[in-house]
Amino acid sequence: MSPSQTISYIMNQSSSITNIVSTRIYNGQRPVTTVVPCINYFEMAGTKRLSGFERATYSINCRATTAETALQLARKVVDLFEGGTSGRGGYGYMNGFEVTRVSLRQHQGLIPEPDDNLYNAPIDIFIVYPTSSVS
Amino acid sequence: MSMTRIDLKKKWNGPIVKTLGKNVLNKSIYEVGLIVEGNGKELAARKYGYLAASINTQFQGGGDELENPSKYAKEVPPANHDVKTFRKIQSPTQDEVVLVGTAVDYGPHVEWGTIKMDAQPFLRPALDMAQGKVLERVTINAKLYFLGYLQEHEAYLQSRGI
Repeated sequence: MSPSQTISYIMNQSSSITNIVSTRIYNGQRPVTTVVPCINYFEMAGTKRLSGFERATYSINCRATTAETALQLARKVVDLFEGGTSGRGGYGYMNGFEVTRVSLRQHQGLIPEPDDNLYNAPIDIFIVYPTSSVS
Repeated sequence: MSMTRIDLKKKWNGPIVKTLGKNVLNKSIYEVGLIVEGNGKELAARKYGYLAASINTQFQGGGDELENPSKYAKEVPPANHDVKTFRKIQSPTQDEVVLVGTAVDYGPHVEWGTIKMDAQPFLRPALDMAQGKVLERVTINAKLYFLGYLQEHEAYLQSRGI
């Protein structure tokens, strides 16, 4: 399982997230449809490799028609990944997640998309995994 | 070599060392800010060049200027083209803080995308690329700022035959 598949799998397994977005969790630089609330996530440039491990940064974008829902969704994603480890997908015990950039304080870090009447609450996480585990 | 209490009292230069340390920090973080800015300009999506040219670095009481968008333009903008938010970002209100960013209103939409437009991140990767530079800049600047101080200190010790 690739890192992006793992991220998708973990979010789809979380009922607190799927209760809000249903199955609208997309891997790509924008959502597949314009139906919200939804999540799209993508790997950012600059994956680092050192001593058999890779560290990739993913941008997770939580969109909704209200600021409150977008922030609520982002908070669920943060809770899911913060300091988490995962044995899912054969990554083993060294697989780790860390929330690197997020601002959920009041409405800071929230990006309005006025043309579409939407709000985006973005989160960056990084995932660390042994290079040999990626199939 | 033994040091007496009098020597220690005479040579307590705490305030000077603190000031030098602060100068090292301020210079280093500004330089790292400029590195992030340079990376960001390289990575920014380009059409008329406003986004890349608008990335600037500010610290309390100073910072750099905006560049000419034509330097980064891939196409010539229409005659009436105007980006009203093409200006410097706000300076930080605290010392020992440097801000790097763009004030153009569509900057966040390029960085994170929209529901109808692909994201083309330029500032976050620029920051990630500069991560290893902090210690390097602090080491260089610490040598620069403390060299004179240490030479003076050495001369003082020699003049006293210590």
